[in-house]
Amino acid sequence: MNALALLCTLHADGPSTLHALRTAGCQSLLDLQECSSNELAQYLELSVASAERLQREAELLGMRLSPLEPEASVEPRSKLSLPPKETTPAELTPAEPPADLPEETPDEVEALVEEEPEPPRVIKPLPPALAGSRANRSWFSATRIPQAAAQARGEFGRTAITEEPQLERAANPPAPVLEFEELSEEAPIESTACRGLEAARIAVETLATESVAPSEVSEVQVPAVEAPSPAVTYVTEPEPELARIAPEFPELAEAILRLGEAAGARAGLPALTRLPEVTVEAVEVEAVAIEPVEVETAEPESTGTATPLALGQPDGIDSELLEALRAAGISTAEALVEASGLELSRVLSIPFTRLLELQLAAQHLFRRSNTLVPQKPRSRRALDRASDPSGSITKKRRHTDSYSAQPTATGRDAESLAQEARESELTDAFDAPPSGNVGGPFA
Amino acid sequence: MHTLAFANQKGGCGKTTSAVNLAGALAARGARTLLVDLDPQAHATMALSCAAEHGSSLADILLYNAEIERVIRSAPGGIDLLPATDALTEFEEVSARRMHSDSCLAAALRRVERAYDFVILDCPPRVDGILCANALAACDTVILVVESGAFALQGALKAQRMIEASGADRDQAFDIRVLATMFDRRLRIAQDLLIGTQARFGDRMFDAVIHTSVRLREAAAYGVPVHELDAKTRAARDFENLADEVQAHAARREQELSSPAEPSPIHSS
Repeated sequence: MNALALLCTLHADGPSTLHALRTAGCQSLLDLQECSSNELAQYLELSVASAERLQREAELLGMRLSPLEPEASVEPRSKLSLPPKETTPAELTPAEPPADLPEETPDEVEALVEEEPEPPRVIKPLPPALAGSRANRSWFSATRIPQAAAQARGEFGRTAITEEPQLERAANPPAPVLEFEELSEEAPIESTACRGLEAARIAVETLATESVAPSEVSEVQVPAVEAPSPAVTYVTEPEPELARIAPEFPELAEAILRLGEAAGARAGLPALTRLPEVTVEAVEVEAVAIEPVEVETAEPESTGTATPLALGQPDGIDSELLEALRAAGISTAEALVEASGLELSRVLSIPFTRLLELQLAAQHLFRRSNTLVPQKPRSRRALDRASDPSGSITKKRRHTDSYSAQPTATGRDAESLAQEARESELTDAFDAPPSGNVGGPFA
Repeated sequence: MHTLAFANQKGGCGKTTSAVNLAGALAARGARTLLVDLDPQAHATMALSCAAEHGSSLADILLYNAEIERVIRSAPGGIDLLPATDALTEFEEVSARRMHSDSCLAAALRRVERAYDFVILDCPPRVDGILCANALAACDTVILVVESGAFALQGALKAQRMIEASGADRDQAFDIRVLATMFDRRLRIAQDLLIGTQARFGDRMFDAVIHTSVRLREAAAYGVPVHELDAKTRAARDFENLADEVQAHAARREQELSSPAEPSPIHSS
């Protein structure tokens, strides 16, 4: 199958079109593109638009096949075809340095490698579950298999696979990353309380060893502590020790904080905010007798604006009825809706049904005058239930596979119906062939 | 006699349908055609309405050296059929203990080579099995059936490598051709796969492409070739085109064999 046959299969009538084209002297996609559309349409008995479309498809197929065409000599390349791309791995070679740059001798390369020492790497062991899942170099055979032998064993299908070039140095050396685990444990936590605690610890040690008087504690020289790396920023949380002693010994906590401030000032360190701010107040709580108090609860006010009743609002309210409603304490549509219909109808001396109509009209008025709330769409079942509460119309009968044992109205019992069903299953399975073909696979 | 084997490592790619209907197309134009069912599933046998459970089959030839003339049956569409049964799996089991078990079919077909113009072998979906080895030993042309679906091209390439290795081992001359099947022009994926197959196999691919057709399924269900069911359908025309190419290929090959100056290819390149 050449490209022209492929085109005929994809966009025409297959071998018949191919045969017609070949008879007309059209042997390739290029020949087809160079044909006149009118002549092609006339010859293939197509419309001119179809012939133009076939030529357009030929052009596209030629462009698509040009880098894939295995036998370029068999099929002349289309005028519009792109130059073949070098995509095989055999032709992929390491990029050569630009010509204007001087080539580096091996000694220079070694010197470069020496000048750029590898940054210290912290290798953290993985947890056992993850460590087991990583590829291990020992899993693979260390002996190298020659490529020719691998091809003979069928492990390589192509000769194009070449050895990956070894880089003498990393193209992009990783930037040094300071991780939390890399910091020394002696690195100070930058807070006033920590400085104070450290000063207090040193002071206590000094007191124990040199028996300095307690009054001289403030004069103890606190060694300067180095500031942490500026690249690392800590969000200091309240130190647990100070937070624990602060409520019980506020004076001690305050002393530690003052000691920390003094130590920081002596060491020339920048002043820090006190963390935590300890404020302890002693509150004496007396027993309070709780007496039950009756509180009148008012009805929550409507969030929407009240809709006053007026003549004709809602429909059916005349002046007499409006006065009677106001006399009964109902002046808004909301109050009319929420009023007890039966009692109100007795008070107003109107039929209960008319009051219901009024309440419904008031409800509509109330809804119109307030913001419309989108209603939740109701399901089909809910609509059926609303229109047919008893379910006498929409209730579906359950389908059962078993037949009733009782004789039906037609006088046929379950046995005869089941037999009929079995027979229909047998006869529906396969239709006989139309002609006299006997002995098919299902015979 | 020209012997064509329909093969692919992948199952369900249309080997049996192509073999049965190509045999029908060749027989319809008067060529004496024998279809050999080498698949223990016996789908080609069933597709021609022949149930071989109660008669002799290809397994009797391969296992017990039965006479091939007594096993061949007449099938619909003017095709002669060498039916299969699941006893062929027994031959697969005992073949390891027998000498020259891969040339049993070739030896049997040699007895009837003057009686037929075309012998079409329907191989099981396993190229490295003993049944397919028998087919490769007996055939002069292997038709790789490539469906227009995922993994089809990979399966065809794998089968091609194995077939070429088999031919090189025996120093046997056969040609490999590729037939695209189950092609649906409306599907972009099918178009892309056909373009990829054409780019890979080029002129070794048949111009004829077998399209997806319900008529082919119906013909198999009725137990007849598609020419018997409806000779005007597109599927029948596809196999007509394929039969044209097969006959042209056979004539070309015959011409090559008859001229000693042009040696036939040892194996396809």
